[in-house]
Amino acid sequence: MKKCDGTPYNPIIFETRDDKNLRKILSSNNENFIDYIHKLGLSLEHSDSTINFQYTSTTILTLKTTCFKVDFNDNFVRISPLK
Amino acid sequence: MKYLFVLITILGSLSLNAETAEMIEETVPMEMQTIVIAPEVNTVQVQEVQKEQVQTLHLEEKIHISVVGQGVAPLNTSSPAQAYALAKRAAVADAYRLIAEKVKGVRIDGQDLIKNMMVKRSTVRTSVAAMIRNASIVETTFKEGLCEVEMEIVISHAQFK
Repeated sequence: MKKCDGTPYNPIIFETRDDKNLRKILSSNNENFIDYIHKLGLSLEHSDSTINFQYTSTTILTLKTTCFKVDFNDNFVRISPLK
Repeated sequence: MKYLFVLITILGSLSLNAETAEMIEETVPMEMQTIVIAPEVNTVQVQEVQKEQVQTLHLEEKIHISVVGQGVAPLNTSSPAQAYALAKRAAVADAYRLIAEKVKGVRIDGQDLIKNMMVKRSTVRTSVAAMIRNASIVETTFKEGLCEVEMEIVISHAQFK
């Protein structure tokens, strides 16, 4: 894994409730975090086909590869993408 | 005597007409040069400036795009909450797709296979690929198994091209 360089911007802050496990914090705030991470950039590929009037569709959403800076404070965690 | 008087008056009017004709030849072209050419140059310059202003305004102008994506929950869910979450995820993906289609356009491929004068297989495929940033969900509704997500994005005219 390469070390990321860049300046943090547009941070999101979650309450930690004395928990330092990032995975748990993100899963308990998954709706907010998914909305937030979608806004940073999302690659979309969609294809659908109608064969003899039968419709099938596939939509693939891929998150943009991004490095984040994570700062744990006493009660909060600040997550900022690097630009 | 009477004929002589008429002849003199005709000649007089002819000479008068010739003088006025010379006056017109001398004066009218000068007036045409000053009146006609100068205003034309002015109006053309004004129109060019306005076009430049309009073009720069259009590039900076923000375009507001709003779509409503729909999603349906699968039948084999373990709870109503899971059904709602999956339907919402599908509706969000559909809304992103609608935004991509509006901004980037859609590729459409069609193919019909005909054998013995009959359609054996009719196919229409559509596809779109895009990168979307800063789209936001405005409203989410869930009614009778159908989730609808209203999503909007504000982009500049330059990004729309």
